[in-house]
Amino acid sequence: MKYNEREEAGYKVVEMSGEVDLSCSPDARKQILACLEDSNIGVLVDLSQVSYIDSSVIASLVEGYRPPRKST
Amino acid sequence: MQPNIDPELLFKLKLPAEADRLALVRSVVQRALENDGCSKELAQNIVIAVNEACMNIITHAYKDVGEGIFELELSKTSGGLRFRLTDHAPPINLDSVKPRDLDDIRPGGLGIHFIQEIMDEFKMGHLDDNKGNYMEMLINLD
Repeated sequence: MKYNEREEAGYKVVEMSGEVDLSCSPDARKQILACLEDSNIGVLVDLSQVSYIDSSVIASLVEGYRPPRKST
Repeated sequence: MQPNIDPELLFKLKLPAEADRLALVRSVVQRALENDGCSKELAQNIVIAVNEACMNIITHAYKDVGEGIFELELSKTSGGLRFRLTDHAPPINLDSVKPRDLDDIRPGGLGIHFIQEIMDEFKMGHLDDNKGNYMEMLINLD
């Protein structure tokens, strides 16, 4: 897996590429969660260059997903 | 003396149950399926199911043991293909292996869902004398 971060159009963009599987999902999870933690802007995970993804990485993406809070 | 090899056996792999071996498994399965006449797309789908089954061994069966080996066999059947995975981990709780409702958005539990969607049949069990676990997955190609 290759990993890169940049900011674009008001988002922090996390780019992953190559095969993203159980061998790198703990790192991917840490990086995604750290991005969410450190960033006060939206985080966009760009998987357009990923050739393979397994359920362990999908689990990390779901873990990082924060549903927008409803305003009261 | 020639070894007694099942003519329907396409390959048999024996590997350490480690995450960094999954790429090799995917590559071998993809190549074997395409060599046997499967389309690239079908082979890619089957690879997803096999990868998830291998992951279950690494992350669940050997979770408390730390390390071990597993075997993966691919054989032709009269109308399709059979994958058989075996490990030598403590017996798993078979009742805990089931697909879950995808409307419940939470991490984990997707592997069995993928296997069920892609394969026509799968079953799991314990090896004799509880010396491990097996999973068989069948796909019809007719």
